[in-house]
Amino acid sequence: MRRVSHGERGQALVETAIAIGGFLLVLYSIIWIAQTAVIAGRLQMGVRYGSVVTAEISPYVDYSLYAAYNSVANPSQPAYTCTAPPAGILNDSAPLPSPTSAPFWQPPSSTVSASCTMTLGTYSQYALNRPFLIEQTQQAFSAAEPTPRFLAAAIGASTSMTASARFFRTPDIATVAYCFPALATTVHRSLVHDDASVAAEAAPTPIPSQPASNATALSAQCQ
Amino acid sequence: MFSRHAQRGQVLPLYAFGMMSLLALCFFLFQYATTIRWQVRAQTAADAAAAAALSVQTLQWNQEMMALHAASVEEYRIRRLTQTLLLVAHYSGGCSATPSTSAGVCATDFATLQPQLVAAVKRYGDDIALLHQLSYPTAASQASDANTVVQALQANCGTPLGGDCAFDYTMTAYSQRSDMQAVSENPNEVMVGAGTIPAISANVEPARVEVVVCKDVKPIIPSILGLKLPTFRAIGRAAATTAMVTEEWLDPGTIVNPATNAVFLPKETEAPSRAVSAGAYDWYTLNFGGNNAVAYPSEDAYQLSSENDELSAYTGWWSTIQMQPFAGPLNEASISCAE
Repeated sequence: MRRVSHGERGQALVETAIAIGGFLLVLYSIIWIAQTAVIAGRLQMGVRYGSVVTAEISPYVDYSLYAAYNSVANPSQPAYTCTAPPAGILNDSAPLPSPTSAPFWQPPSSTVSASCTMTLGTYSQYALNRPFLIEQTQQAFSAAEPTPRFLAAAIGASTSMTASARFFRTPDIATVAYCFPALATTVHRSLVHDDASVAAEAAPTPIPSQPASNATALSAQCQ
Repeated sequence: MFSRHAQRGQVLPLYAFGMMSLLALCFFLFQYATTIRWQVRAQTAADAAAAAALSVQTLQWNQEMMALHAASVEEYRIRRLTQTLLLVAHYSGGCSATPSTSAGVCATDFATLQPQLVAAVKRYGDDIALLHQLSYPTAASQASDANTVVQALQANCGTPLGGDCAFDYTMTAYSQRSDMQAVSENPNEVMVGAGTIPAISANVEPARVEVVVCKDVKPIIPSILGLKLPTFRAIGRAAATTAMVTEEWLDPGTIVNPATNAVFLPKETEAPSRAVSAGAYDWYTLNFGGNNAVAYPSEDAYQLSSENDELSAYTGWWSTIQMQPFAGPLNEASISCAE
């Protein structure tokens, strides 16, 4: 029969307590890493979703004769529709509904922020063969997750995660009219035929054999 | 039988092994999550670069489409003005060779119409000159500009004009799309894939581009127990092509513009109305929409009888769409990869 000496009493309990403590520490760390990894991955998906959707958000309005007729008379920069990363991506709701995950995998909604801005770019400092114009979107998506208490002292009370992306798309017709005023003017002249416009026309001239160099120049406000 | 002393510390190796296993699991979990995130980020950067590169062509073609529509409107106007002038020159269409109370004088009408034709011809010439200028870049210069744009994305990374600074960008392929299908049209239907495609210039063929972005992502821990951990190569490979994202038919003389509540192109009175009799056709008014279409929404169809002249505009507008990579297996030696 095995007998335990007084010096070894409770030793197994202490060892087990230490082992379990260490084990739980690592286990919870794994769970926390998994949690932040899932959220960070979803943020990255969110900016991708916003980028791709914004690129083709309303083709029937952006690219159409309707846009041409209504923009060439008084060209102005249109109000762009920029789709920010949808918060629903973080909790499995719209626009990508799926079986709802437990709240554990979702950041507190108060920490979620999303933004989308659209600007024009020209690359005018490069030696391109013709004036270039492009619409650029900047997506940003961020969230924060409370850090487990046992890690808070080491890495802070919460973990912030951010994803961002830039995307590009062909300029819509209204923007083309706004940024290429000579093009808009020429098109507008052909769509309006009244006494004043007739009287304003000079005598016809031969069509030049070589392309002119200024008719498709970018306007100053787009450079 | 073991002594009690021999059993001391027996759990320690087991505990240590267990902890090491958990830490390794922890590391690989983190590494896996990082890999997924980088992969999504790389693909987004590549998709964006491909769209930017092809915008060289899509922008040009949309500009051409605007100028082409203006020229077609002007051409229709010139045809009608010429026809009206011809009628007036022959004392027809309602005017009179001599002054009368019921009809205007043809000579006066001719004098009214002539400057309109001159103005229309002037504008048409300007439209064609503009089209000439817009269509000047060739397929080769478009490819060159596309490559410049991809390089500019990297050079301007971190700014509104740039791409993702984490990656190196390489345009690996640019060519004209060779899988075009012929479209045959008759008054009843439009058939895709019927007939053969005539030989056309590469300058007017839709382009396709392939862009690769790359970064070598080092593991957060270089090695575990002497085992060197591999560097993960995040590669985003995207292909895009120029595509007609919207195709539309517009009868600008009939369809009402929602923004103005008037038809897109209203009737133009070329000369005072000289209707031959009440209700008769007015030869001196330019009507862009001489035929009224009747819509049958329940059958997703419309009926249009072609009884009079009209301007019908079929247009297509261009943008970029993603497509499957087309340049075969990726040769990693041909791309640069950010450290």
